[in-house]
Amino acid sequence: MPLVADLGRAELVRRLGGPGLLLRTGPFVSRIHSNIPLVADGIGLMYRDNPIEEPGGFADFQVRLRQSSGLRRWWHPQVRFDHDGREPFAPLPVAQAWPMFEWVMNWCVSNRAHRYLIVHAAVVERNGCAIVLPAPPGSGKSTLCAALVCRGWRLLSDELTLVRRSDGMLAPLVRPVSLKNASIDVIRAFAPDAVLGPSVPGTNKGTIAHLKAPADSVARVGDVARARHIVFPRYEAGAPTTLTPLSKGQLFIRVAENAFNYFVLGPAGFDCLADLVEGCDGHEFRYSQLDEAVALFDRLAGVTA
Amino acid sequence: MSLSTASEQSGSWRRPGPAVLHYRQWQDDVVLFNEVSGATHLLTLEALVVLQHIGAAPTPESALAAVLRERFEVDDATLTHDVAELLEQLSCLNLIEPCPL
Repeated sequence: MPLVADLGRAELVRRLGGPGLLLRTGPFVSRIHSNIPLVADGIGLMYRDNPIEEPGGFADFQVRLRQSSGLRRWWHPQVRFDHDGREPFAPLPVAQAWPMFEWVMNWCVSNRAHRYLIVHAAVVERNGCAIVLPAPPGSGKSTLCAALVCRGWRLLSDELTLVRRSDGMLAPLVRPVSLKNASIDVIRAFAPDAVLGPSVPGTNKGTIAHLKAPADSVARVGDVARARHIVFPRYEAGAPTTLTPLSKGQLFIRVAENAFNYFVLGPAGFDCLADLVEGCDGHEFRYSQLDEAVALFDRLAGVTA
Repeated sequence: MSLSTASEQSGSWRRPGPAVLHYRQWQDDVVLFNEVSGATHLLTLEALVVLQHIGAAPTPESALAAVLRERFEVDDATLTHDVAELLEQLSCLNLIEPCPL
């Protein structure tokens, strides 16, 4: 299957501005239309290893990001997103088109893909051991996820954990890791060879930059994984690296609080989440040193130093 | 696992309406999902025992106390207070309701 990188810049722009780019991310295909150069730049860099489908094929999601017309085209230009003709988000400054694209891609999955239990969590895997990292914004989840990925862990997702309801396996949804504010320089220093996109200041989450998913993680997007641990990370400056166990009941409630569609799924969601919790150990995790955090996760996965 | 709906009978406590309660138990932790309300609760094993007993038949408080005494070997003084508190908590969660006399 051809990749985004095979298209070349001119063909990528032509598809985005014409019939649409059919981008595969994990189990989903999105038809993307956009006339905004920042979106083409972002896809060309961040999704270069992702497969694409031929124009005219089936797509799960229809994503259209366009620049406002009329006076707005010249005065404080904005980017607008419409999904099947509706605009669920307020327009944003066009300089934020790339972060908006990523938020839109998250929105499509978390609002539509109810054949999965969807948890607001990162997932990484090493040595056959998948670890789910649910956490609210600001907890250091994405920083930890990025650090693990830069030290050899496979990325399944930075933002949306997809639990397959049929068998409880985790389906990869490999996309860029969203880094915010101080985390951007932390990861630049931790992994100087990592591919980061441009920093976009002034968003409602502060400054955002995305870390490109490793090519081998993208290539293994068909390899589902079994969750073994669910870890709630919390970055605290100066804190020692600490892993504290959670009871199954606490774990269930904490994961449910971080699930997008647990309440939509009813008893099926309850059973799916209970099965997930049954097969995992739960922990709270405090950290301040990424090297120590990575070493601890390696031990959880049975990786010897 | 799920608890089937109790038929309405006169008694001290009963399960309200046609609720179906799904639960999982891990040692002393019980997580319970009320299919009618959509609510999820983290309960104790004692609460599950009470719900199971009330599910079988609407029951006076003294009978629930007897079940808990036998199951958990609690002394009577502690039990009286704990049972009343437990029933109040379950009632607040709309998992049980007092039966009319």
